[in-house]
Amino acid sequence: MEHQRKGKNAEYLQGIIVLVVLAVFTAIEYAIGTADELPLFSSAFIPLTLIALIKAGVIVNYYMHISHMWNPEEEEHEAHGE
Amino acid sequence: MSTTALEPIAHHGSVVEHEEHHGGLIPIAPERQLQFNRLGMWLFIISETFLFAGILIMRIVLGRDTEGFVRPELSQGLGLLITSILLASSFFVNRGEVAIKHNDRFNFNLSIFLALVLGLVFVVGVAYEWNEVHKDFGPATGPVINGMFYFMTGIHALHVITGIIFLLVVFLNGIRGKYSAKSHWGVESAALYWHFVDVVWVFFYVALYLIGTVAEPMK
Amino acid sequence: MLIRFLRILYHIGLVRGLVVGFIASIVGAILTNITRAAFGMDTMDLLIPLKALFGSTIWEARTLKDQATEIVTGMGAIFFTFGFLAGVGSLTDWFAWSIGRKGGDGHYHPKEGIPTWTRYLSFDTNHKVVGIQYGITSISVLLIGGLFALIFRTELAQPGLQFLNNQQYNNYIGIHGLLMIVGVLLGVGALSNYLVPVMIGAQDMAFPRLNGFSYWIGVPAAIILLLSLPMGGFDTGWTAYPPLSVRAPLGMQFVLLSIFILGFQSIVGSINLLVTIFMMRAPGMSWFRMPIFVWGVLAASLLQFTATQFFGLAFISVLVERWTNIPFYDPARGGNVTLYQHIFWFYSHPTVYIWVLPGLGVISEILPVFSRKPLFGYKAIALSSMAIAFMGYLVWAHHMFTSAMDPFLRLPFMLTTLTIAVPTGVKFFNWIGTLWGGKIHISTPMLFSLGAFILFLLGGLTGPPSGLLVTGIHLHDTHWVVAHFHITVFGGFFFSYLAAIYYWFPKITGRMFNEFLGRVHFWLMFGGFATFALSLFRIGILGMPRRYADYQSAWGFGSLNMLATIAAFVAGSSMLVFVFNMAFSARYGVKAATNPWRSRGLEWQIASPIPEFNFSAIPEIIGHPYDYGLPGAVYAVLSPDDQASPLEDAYTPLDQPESISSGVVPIHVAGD
Ligand SMILES: [Cu+2]
Repeated sequence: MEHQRKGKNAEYLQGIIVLVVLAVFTAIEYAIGTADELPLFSSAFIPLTLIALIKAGVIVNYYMHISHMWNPEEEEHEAHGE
Repeated sequence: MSTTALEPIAHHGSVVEHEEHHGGLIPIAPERQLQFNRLGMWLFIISETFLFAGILIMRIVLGRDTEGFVRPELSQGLGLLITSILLASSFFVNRGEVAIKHNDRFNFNLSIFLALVLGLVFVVGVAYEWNEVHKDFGPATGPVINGMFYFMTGIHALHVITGIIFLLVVFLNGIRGKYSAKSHWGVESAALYWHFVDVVWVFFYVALYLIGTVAEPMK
Repeated sequence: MLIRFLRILYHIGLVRGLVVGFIASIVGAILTNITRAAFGMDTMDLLIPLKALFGSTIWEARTLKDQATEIVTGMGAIFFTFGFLAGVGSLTDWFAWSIGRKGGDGHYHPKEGIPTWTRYLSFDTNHKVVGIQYGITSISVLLIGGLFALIFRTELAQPGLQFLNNQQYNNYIGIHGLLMIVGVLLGVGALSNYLVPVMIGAQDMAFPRLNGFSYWIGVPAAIILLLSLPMGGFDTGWTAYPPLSVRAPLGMQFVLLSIFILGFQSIVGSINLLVTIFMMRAPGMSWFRMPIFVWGVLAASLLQFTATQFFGLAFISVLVERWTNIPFYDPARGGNVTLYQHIFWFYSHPTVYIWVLPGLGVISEILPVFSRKPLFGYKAIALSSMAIAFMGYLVWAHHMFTSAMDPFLRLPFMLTTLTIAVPTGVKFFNWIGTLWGGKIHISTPMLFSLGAFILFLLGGLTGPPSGLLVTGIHLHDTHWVVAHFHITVFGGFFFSYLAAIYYWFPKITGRMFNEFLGRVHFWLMFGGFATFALSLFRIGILGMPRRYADYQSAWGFGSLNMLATIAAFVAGSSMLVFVFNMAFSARYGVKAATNPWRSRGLEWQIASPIPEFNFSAIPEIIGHPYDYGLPGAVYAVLSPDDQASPLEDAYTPLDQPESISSGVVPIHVAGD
């Protein structure tokens, strides 16, 4: 897995990319929530919930590293990959 | 064995010194202890998820009229602002964690400090919003969704304040050089908690600011 | 002399906690008052709690002054909890870590001249000490709760109000229910904390400090709960349904706060147990070699660490409504009362399984030992616990068949309720399979297990009539329901708890209890309770509603009520025999053999009482735990240092030397 051989800068970059992705999703949420009319959906509830779930998934995976729970070695590789 | 002060591992380090005194407590290896801690923290987060899920269910049940969902009348700009601030704060906590993993102490301290400040700004933002909302209605007046706004932001803010205290502890220990690439469970747990508080806000932001139409004020 | 006495007092954690907590509560109340005054809000009226103390208990209408008083006293109670925890010493190490110092090792080190029993009244992280602390607290809380039951049961013996008024009656049924729940939860904590680490071959829990903390946070919670009575009481019963609980007297808030604080104990304790069970099993102990009790604790903990949040949410939202008037549960202002019932029962149904699953685990532990046969259907019993835990999430609304819930929902919840009988039935059939053809030895723990078996069976059989819509709506809120859940909890938890205490007593104390007194206890308790429950079933079918202080003699259940009261007194008095037996035998009992029941459990192979850190080397599991009577079946390999030598002159109740093959061979664990 290329994930394991990441250096410091690559990890910093990953953090920034995740932030940008989250920001984009938040902007979309804001647009949906404040729009008067929505295409495709009759209510904002479903798309907003979906986006919120995606955002939560991104944070849980990339910021909270849930995979370290069942794969503790991954982190070791990261630290040694420097 | 590393004996960084904030970590439970330190306890087992000290037991080794006392060994002749107690006899027989086999010290737990740091990697194993780290796995214990992680599992414990995640179970705690799952448990808290149930609390916030319950609150969201309350919001969904109470925040409806015949037309559909209603929401309290709030400043959209401020909502977007504090949401972005909390996201950015989460980003800096992550950056701090990456930094300490690579022994980059300067970036670690700076990132945790920025996260801390952004967290404080978030709390100030919520307090400002409370004050603004309070001009129109207190928790006891207006439709129940307005009361829900105080309840949800209040419980979330309590968690944010706990997280800020947690980050402050990490920051103070960090500038005294208590963490290293090998041993930083304190940083990791604070980060996990902080990200979780952020995840909660992801849902609360949608639930309070974006869903439904603005509730009619009751006479 | 006085100096020495004070010094001992100072070294007792409990005393320090109470003193610091008391000071903290005063400081908290004053700070809250000052803050409120600074913001121009109402401050506390000292007369209100005083008036509550001396009788006038009902708040006609809650004024702003009442509300201010409630907030200030409530903050006092919260500060009391923090002060107590700090004073007892449960936060010391965490505080040290957070300021970058090295904490202590978490063990209790008595200073020169301080008696060793102070350890049990102080903060300690050893799981056995914590378990015993839980156990003694739970028995005390259960006895106090039972006392309240006897008081109002006496009132119910005859038609007409004899010595309680309506308000007192309501207070006592409420506090009885809550104290019993707290006591049972503490009892679950006692069993699981004491037994789980030894049974899985670990030296302690995964987070020993958290373990000590989770016990001690229960103590201020219990104190605050008891405080609710002198502070005006509460007339809602234990369920605290709004809108009544929003208008109830000052005592209500102490109930809400206390249960909320107790939730921390449940959550933190169950997380600790889960991590211990997941991570600390001895090498070779795969999931299906785990003792069955550990399976029960695992399933219960999975329920406990999630569902408890809903209990906390239900109670804290009522508290918030009382403090701030947010109209969650005020239909006139858009609130929804049924919502509370959903949130409440989403915890309060699973909580029954939180109590019962460890209790059923105890029965499954004891039956094979006293039948000298392998546990029949080990995997089925283990997995049925998990199935019950999962199903437990899906049945909560069967408590709400007569509420404002959408009537359509009654059908799916009726079906899930009936389905949960299937995994429960699996346990019964496997227990019968275990007993069948076994070489049954009757001793007090076995008697209590069989009693639990019978009572839980009766509890189970009276479940479908309560859960089926046709009969359930008629039986709803009658004494039938009271009898049903009492017999279920007595069978599923209380009798198993007593069985467990008798069974592990020689291991805990190193001495034998008095068998005769144990049997006296059993027959009084079983006869008394069974009579009580059966009369209550009858009273319920005849239509007597629960929670009513009075009834008319013309309705024809006067004599049954009298019978139930006498039976309750018989059952209650048997607890005196129990307490005497335990207290006396712990000190003066005959020295017990290391393994008097010839069990294969790990805990029975090591010395009694269990050494400080259980094992000097972690044992290795190489077989199945319940292969009783199978020649040559080996369960575990222990270090010879741990394998206790049998006492020559020991009292051994099961004296069949031919089947002594406990299956544990002492082989030194080489190397690691
Ligand atoms: Cu139920």
